[in-house]
Amino acid sequence: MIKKDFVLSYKAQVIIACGVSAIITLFAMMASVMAAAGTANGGGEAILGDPAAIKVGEATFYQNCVYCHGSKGSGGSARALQCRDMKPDYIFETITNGRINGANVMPPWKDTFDEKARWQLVAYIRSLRTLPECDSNN
Amino acid sequence: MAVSRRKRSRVTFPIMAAAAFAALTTTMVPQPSFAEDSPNDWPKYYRTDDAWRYSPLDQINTGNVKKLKVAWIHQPGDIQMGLQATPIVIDGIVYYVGANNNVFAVDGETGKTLWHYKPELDPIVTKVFYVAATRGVTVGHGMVYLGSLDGRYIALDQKTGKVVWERQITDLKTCYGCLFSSPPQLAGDILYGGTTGGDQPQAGKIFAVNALTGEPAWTFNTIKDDPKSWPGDSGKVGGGGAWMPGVYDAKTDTILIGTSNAAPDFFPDGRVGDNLYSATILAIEGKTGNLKWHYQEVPHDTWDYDSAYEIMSIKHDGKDLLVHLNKGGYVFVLDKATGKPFNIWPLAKHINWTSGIDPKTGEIKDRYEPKVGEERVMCPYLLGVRSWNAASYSPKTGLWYTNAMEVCNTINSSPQEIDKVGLAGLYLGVSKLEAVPPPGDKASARLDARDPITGKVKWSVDYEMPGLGSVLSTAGGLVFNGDVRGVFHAYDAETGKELWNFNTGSGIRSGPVSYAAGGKQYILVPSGLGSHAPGFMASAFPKIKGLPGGAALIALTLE
Repeated sequence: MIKKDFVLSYKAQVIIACGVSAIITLFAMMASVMAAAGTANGGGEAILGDPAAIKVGEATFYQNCVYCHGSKGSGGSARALQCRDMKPDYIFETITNGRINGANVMPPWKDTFDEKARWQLVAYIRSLRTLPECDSNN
Repeated sequence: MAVSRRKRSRVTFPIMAAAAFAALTTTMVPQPSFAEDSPNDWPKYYRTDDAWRYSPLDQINTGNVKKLKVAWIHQPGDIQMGLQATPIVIDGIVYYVGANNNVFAVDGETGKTLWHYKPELDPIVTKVFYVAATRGVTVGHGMVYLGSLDGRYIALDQKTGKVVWERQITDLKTCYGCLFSSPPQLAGDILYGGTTGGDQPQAGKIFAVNALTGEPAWTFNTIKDDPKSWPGDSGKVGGGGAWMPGVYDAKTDTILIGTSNAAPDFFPDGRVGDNLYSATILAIEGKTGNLKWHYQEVPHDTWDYDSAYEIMSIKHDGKDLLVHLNKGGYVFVLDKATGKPFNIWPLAKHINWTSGIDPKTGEIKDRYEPKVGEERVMCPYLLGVRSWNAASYSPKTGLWYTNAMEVCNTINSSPQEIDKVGLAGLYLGVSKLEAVPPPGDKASARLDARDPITGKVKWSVDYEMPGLGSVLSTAGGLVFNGDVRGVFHAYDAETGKELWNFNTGSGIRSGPVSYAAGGKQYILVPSGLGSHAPGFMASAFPKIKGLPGGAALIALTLE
């Protein structure tokens, strides 16, 4: 026997169905907007595993970042970037706005690199978390 | 913003009036000279225009150096990029600059702040590559001169620290952040200096103004207007900044100053030619800015081998000679009057960009250059056989004391799109760049004592990591040198035996000096590791990672 309290009326079922449908539609729209934004900003997080993006990011890194962060992000005056599982947004935000840490000063790069170039850098830096030397260091 | 910039660049009427009065009184009443012969002072960046970094004081000597104790410590309060300055000391007052152009006058006996000038810097200074650091100030004509991080010359009243005049010289927005990292120097009534920019797509210049008023005097283009040197538009982005202080020969009214590498550093395909006046020693007439002679040490540089370091004058067998270290590992000994080579000798042990330089003609033999699409190990690396802080020469021993290092870099040359360089970017022309040990050897560092004319070694002390500060020698028979851990060492100038050391707490990246005040000799060491160099050399010297930064001016004297 089903207790009456747990039986939903037809009206309630329609309302719930509409609500779920609306939420699904909303999520679909958001995903669409995010995808569009991702395209506009050079792929955003979507390019993180893209070998081509990593290669471009690597060249940008060697032209601009190696002075402080060392080859393959091995660290120097700034902290090592390799063998660290940093969140993409965190890396992107730091590149964008820079950082001051004691004597070390990293300028903001938002006036130097467009979003696409910054995400390509993120892609390269993310690729450094699984280098062979990470195993030997551990 | 634009309005305030215009306001700033103007010299206001009261300032002009004050400057005119200053000029008048300067003409009427002879001002004290810089007292190059005053043993108590350190009146210029290299102390004297022969760039010896030698103090004739001998109260502190080999017999009592062990009794050195801290007299006082002055902290600028901002440690960004450490403390890179060489202090100036005149009549017992210390003038120095900390991070972000904070200028201080300090009592040399007590360390008490006499005045502090903190400029309002354009916010753009936080967005460029060469942030925060300045190598010093210049004192003369009753003023303290600063080249600012936002591209100004600023003259402060020597007694009060108040602004006498200021003038906007460069526009960082249009020259990829080119700025004054070194103090402009005096050539009589002319104040002149160059900017960063050897690694940026810009065309270097030396800017001269009237030191009394700030009115523009002349500008020298370090990128020669000659299609044989710079085909097409390559010169417009050819680098060539003169980023270190020059020296001045008052007898002949000659400014001697060196220039940076050509850009893009490692991808030279678009700039076929000798690329004058990059990697060159310039002799410029002070009054007019006319070129008297030049000597290009590295024609068509493709290795980042600047000629920006100190230009030392020395007499040898009755000849006036210049001794100059190029980053490429060679010391160029030149005739001071003509710039012709007298001798050229290698300081670096590992050199592979050439099989040798003819010591009489300067011809570079068998050039080995970076190549597109191929990783090549080039020696020395881009920081040179030594960093920019200077060597010292003692007339008592006849020896030249210099830091040196043996490091190479792996380079893969690559074209680089200028429109993607951006404000903080570098124009290196690489897809791979890594500091590595020399082939078949380990990366190493040392302090050498050598004959400056022949290069003959008298003694050498190994260092765990490269010394990045300037060397100081004194009439007390001492050589002082700091290391990157912050230990400040005193050596016997004749033998290299270490006599004393003191841990300052952070690495030495500056210019230690000596002076006397109140009848006592002081050794003054700015402590505070900073700058980009430690980061780049970390792949060759891993122990340099994570060394602490800091900023403290430490005065030492006998107890």
